[in-house]
Amino acid sequence: MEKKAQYFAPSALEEALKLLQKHQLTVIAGGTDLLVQNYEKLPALGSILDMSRIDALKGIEVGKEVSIYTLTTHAQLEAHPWIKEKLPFLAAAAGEVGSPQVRNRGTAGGNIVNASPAADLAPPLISLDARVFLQKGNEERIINLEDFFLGPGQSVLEKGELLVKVVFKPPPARAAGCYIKIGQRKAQAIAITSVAVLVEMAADGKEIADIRICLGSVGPVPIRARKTEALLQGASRANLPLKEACRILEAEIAPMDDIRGTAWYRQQVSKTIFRRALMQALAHGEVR
Amino acid sequence: MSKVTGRARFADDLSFHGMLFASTVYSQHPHARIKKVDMSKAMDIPEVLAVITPDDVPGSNGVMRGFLVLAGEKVKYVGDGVALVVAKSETAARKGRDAVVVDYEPLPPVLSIDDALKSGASLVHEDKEDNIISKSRYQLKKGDLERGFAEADFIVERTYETQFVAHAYIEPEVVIAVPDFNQEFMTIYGSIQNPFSARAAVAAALGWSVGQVKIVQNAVGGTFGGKDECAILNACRAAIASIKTHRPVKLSLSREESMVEGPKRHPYRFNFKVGVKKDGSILAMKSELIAQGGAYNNKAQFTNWRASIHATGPYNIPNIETRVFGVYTNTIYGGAMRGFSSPQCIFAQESLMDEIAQELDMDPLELRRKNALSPGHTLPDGQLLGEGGLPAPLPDIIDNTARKFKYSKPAQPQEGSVKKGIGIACGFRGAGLGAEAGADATGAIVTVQSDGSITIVSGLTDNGQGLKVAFSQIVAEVLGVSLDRIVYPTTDTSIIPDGGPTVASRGVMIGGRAMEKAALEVKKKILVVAGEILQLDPEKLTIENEEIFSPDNPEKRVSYMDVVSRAYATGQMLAALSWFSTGVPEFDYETGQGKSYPTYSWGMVITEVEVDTETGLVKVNRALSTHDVGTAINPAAIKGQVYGGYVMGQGMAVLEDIEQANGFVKSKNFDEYLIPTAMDIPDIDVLIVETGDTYGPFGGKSVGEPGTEMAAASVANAIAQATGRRIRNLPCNLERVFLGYNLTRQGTAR
Amino acid sequence: MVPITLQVNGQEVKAEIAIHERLLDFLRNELKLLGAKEGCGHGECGTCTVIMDGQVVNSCLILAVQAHGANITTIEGLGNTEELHPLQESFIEHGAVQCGYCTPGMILSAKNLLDKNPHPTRKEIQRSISGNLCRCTGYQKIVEAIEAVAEGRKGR
Repeated sequence: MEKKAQYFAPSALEEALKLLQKHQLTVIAGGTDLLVQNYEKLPALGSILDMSRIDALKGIEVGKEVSIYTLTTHAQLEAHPWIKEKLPFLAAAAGEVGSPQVRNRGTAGGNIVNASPAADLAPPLISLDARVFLQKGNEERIINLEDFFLGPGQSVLEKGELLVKVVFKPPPARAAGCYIKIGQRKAQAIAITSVAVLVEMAADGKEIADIRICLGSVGPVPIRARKTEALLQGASRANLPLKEACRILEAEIAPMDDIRGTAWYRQQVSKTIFRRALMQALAHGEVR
Repeated sequence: MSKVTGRARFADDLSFHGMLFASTVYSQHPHARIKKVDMSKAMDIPEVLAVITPDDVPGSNGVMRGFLVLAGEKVKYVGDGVALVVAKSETAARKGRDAVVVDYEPLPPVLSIDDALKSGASLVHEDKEDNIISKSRYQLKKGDLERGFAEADFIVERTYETQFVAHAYIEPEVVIAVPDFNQEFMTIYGSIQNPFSARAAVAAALGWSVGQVKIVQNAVGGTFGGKDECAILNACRAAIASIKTHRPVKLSLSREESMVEGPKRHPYRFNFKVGVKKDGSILAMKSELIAQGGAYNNKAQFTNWRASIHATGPYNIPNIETRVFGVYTNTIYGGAMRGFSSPQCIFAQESLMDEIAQELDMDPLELRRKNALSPGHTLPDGQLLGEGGLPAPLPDIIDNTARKFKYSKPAQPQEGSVKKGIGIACGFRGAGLGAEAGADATGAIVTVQSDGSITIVSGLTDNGQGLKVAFSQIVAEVLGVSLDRIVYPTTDTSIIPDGGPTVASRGVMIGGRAMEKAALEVKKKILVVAGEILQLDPEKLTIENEEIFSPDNPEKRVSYMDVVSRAYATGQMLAALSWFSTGVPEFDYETGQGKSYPTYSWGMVITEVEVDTETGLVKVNRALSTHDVGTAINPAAIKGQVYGGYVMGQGMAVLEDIEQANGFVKSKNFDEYLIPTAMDIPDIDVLIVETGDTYGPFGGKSVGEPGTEMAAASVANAIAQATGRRIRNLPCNLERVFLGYNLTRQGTAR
Repeated sequence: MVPITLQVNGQEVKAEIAIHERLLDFLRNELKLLGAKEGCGHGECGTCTVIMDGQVVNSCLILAVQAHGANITTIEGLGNTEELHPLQESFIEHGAVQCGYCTPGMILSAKNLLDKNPHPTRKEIQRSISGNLCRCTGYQKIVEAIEAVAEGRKGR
């Protein structure tokens, strides 16, 4: 396999998709996860499809919908003027990824297809009800990001299929989000637990019109807390059923023990950061 | 300067003509018998030239008092090397390593102190009677312990534990063995902390005399005590591979290999029993210390001795009994790491002081002030402090540090979930090796060259801590010449006698004294030549700014360069090899009484933290680190050592822990073993105290180890004060801080 | 083997390289630019940092083929034997160098920050070097050295 390994660096998506139909290829973009996972055994990667020269897959489009193309780096996402202004919690999540070096190379698409339950971008994007556009050959399919993940390192992405972009509707003006991550130190930390909350207030500013909650690192995939959302939908801001919400949230997540923390700790602290994120999102919503 | 331009050469930057690469096959079990090593698949790889097993070791496979170059009969931990694959490229060497098949018969592993001491425990070393590390037992007895307890108003008993901490130098170990063409000499280049220990081990493994092995040190990317046993074993392996292949061989460890094979800071368990009076005076302290040594250990016999002297802290306790020993386990092993048992002891001791203060409802500062060793007191080893004895600056240090920090206990209880805490730690540290291993001695060579440049060679090595600068300054100062004249070649074991290891902050104190002595001898010679030129008595001459003159008659002078020229023209040698030794100390190892160390350095750290009690997150806000440095030779360098030392201690306090499960290391790289980043550091201030101690060169005492040893204790005490809950085992990670105690992960051994 | 052309420290470099060779190994083994080093191979320690097309990156996490057409600056591209770069001078002056293993990466991260943001706050400086681990200095003197250059107390 090693001797025959080939390197393809197409400049167009169509070409990449064609190559994937023809060859057995390892797809690389930023490489910040791939090269770590394959440390000391890079030749085993075999033939390589390098996506990094497909310019059409770089950048962010803002219109009726927001499209984050797959090769957009975390640094670009963090610094994007519209994202920074309208969705600071998403920019913040991008700014939490790895180190400056990793944010300069690592891509939004890579963060998703790597399918880590701890991926920083997943909770905010799921709270934005994002969809992913997947393409294989000439076929395109659109999947809710929430449904994309199947388990640690596993997703619905098929062999030969590429993630093209992540798309979501800009939330209404009365909405505000918050992302909170617990890591062991202030930089280069992998989430022990993380939460994104996006709240939309009713026109009178008194009730929660809509809310979406997603947590990271507390299950095999990022977890959307739908039951907790249901409880808070329509809840009055002055009289939030926080205790009950935390009780429900606790039952919705399924954390495990790993090197970064115990299930029990995750269970407890997830409730804290959820509560804080909700309060902060509500406070932000007020400002706007 | 070459370090900022990228031109400094570290071991991995070196390559030699025809150089081969080697990779070690590591054990797959914490404890197992090796039944068979099948290297055929590895040998089938075209680029693989040799696979080396213990049978290929020409000399002794056992080196450094119990370590094995390669494990032959059984593996005792997952870092044991079983075989070595030598190949034309690093990639091929690793491929070969993965292709060696070893057949093991697993044995029940000994994983903890309790496992090791259990009756009927399996033996880590089968040639020994039990799992107690040989020569690791020490005791110190002072006064009458039982009487002290009887007179006490109450008794406090506590147990504390510390973790395995990695040196986490950014450069992993790299060694290169280069044979000469006659195969009579071997040169080892490498990131090796102690070239003389390395030379002895390599010579033993080759079955050669030490003179046939030369260790050349290049730039070393940090060591902190750690580039020792593991680096040396790899040097032995590379040397054997080099003999077998007649080619230079490089062995470059990956971060994972370095983390698994290399030494760590010993975990200790401390059992304390203290008798205290209501007024806060501590009457008696009994302490039992157990070190977890891991699979091999040649350092516990020294770390434990140091611990036996320091375990009860810098306090005036009339009745003391301290017992220390270490155990073998089938885990990663403990070695020397910055502090050499003191960070562990100070964490335990200073946590204990805070807990006593809490029992007494007394301010922790007040309790320390009351018990601080002061002039007129005696040290735990019986040495007198104050007039006629050693300096005792601790009371002043406590007062001045508290004043500068504006110390006051935060009001309790605090509102909100984020709580502030202020923690104190005091410490004292015996300087140098002390009575640890007999006399403490090293050499230095100072040579004035014909062009006026001055070459200096020390028996101790600059491992990045700045000895080069310190030694250069000492020589320039003594000789009254410009610093630019000093040339400091890398250490080479063939040009200077064995000066022992560069450990225990010996660098400036012992190495500096030897350097000062050599420079003084050279100065004498310069003055003799100058005396001939000036027709003046050399005794009356002095050197300043490269001019030699007599203060009585300052007009008559001669330049340094003129003296050098004359010396060379008239065949006079301007060079000296000097030796500095502390002499064999008077010390009773049965009671721990006597001259443990020639002097002590003293210090105190105060740290302020903010603890988010709902998540366990600790933010270290600010710290003040006070150090008695004797005389401050280079205040900027002192601060540099203290900043670095503090942050290392901070890491030990809140972040760092080698996670092991059933003897397997889980935190193998920097994504799992977390050290502080630039965003985690507090504002650190340093208060330098001068005590006029005459022990070091120009009265200087080292600060490399004091800089780190009190930090973890102060952070832990600050956290306990903020949360009101005491964590008695390090690190105070998120979970422990959140909970107030340890939570065991499923499937892990701890 | 794949042919690549790139700019390294202002000079054009053409090479035939193996597909799976990392940029770090290419710089070190082929170009003998030894300033970038390997400390972890996992993009955690940052001692392999180089500037690629105006961004700091970990050269241990990039395939050399991916650098085709790129413009790369390594530590060897800063200053020269007669004159050091102000950051290099400032690192020496402030005692920001101890063992020196992290120093090349650290200086490149600092340079990249100052190129984009000539007057950063202390927090911004700390964040910019948060991908470069140092075990000797406790970072304080490194931050001070960068601050001095940013505040114009050093060099150009």
